Amino acid sequence: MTTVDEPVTVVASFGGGGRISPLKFRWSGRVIPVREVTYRWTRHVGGRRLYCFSISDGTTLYSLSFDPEGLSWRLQAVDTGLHESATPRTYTHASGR
Amino acid sequence: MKTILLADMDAFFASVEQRCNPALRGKPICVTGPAHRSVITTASYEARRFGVKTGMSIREAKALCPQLILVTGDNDKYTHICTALKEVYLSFTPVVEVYSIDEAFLDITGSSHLFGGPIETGRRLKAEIRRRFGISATIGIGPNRLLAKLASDISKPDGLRLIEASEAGPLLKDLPPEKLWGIGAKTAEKLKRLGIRTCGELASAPAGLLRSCFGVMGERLRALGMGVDSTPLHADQEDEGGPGGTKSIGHSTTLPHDLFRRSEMARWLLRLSEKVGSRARRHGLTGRTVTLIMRYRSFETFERRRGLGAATNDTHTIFRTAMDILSSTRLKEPVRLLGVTLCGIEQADTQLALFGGEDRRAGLLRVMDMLNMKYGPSTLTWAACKGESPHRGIISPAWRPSGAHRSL
Repeated sequence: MTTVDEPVTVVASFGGGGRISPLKFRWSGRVIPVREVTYRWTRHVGGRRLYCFSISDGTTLYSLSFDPEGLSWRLQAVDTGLHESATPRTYTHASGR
Repeated sequence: MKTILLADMDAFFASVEQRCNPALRGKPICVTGPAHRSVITTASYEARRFGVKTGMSIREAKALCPQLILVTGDNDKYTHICTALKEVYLSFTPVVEVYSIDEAFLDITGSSHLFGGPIETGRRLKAEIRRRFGISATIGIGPNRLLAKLASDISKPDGLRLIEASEAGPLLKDLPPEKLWGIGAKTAEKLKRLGIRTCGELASAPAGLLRSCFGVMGERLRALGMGVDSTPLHADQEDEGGPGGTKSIGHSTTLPHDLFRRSEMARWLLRLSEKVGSRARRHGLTGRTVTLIMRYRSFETFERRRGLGAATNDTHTIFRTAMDILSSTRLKEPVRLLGVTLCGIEQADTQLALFGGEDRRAGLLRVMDMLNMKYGPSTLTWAACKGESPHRGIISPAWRPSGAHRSL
């Protein structure tokens, strides 16, 4: 994965039971629809808790995080290898905060 | 008769990564640490078919499986799921011992009837884990931890097996002792030298012979050979404030390059000592022995330990002791891995010092710990630790959602 660590604008639903679901987001002038949330987890940075999402638009895998304290979203990383893996590769997760 | 269930996630780290990234599903992948020289932490079942195993170097693994995909482990995902898994376990029984990051024992003696019996409980638990986390678990059920673990081991992956007490004898009769949980390769080798090659032979071996060879462990080994294990579940231990079952607190790291000079190793030992010390302080624990672990370039690993005059959790005392051990060790080869462990764990003594010095020192550590808790690890650290950015190693399998193991 390629680290991005940039703020992004996200449309999300905040459902019952505190379930957050990103629906689409704007990055580099493009609106990217969320086809699937492949995983969700939380990350602690000191006393702060970030909600993390691994999402796909069908061709690219994105890693988004939401900071409930600052009410802000960040695009942490991008991986364009969702539908190809012709050559062996190494995936490194973004640790940007 | 108890009914113990073991829930063991299949290739946990690799399964989580495959779930997370659709491009990795059905492919041979390995989870490794962030250092380019780290070893294989977990291999997916697709990679295991090529002979790739945990602990192999990346080069060895690639030689077996050239198309192997390497994924750097993401500790946050694994700890999050382990914590959430505990909530699932608690919906089946209140008696849960999270044994490691991907294994938990559940005592379902008093609750399995609510779910239709032990097998149905296992089936429902597997389904719930798959539904919530998208990963598979193998469930082993037995009258004790030993047989639950064996049931799980022989049904991996994605299995479900119950071993009744009455089945233990025939099942264990021809099983090599090292297949049993608690009997390692060295013990199995010693048993072989005594002519004991199966659990059946172990169960019928003269108690005196085993006692003379293994001391008090002889009786236990014989019991294991019979499938008997009276070890209770430590369900409450995780949430105790005291040392509970914590025997040691340790950290290790694979170095970015092999080091031979002690002065170069010092910085890494200080970082490791700080991680060990801060974790001990967070849980109000101290230790009486420091162990230094070193792995040479050739993968030969050894450890040396040294007792302390008084129990401590002070970073610098741990560091100085580790350095003393290093100074008195004749290095044969460059070192690729260093580890520091604090053993002889006990509850920290909170008595005030008679003279002021120690209080100032304790106060400094307390402030450092508070800042690092609030703003993240290493926000405030020792100047000597600055410089080459330390990578965040892959999480220890011993991690648990609470207690002194709950730390990175």
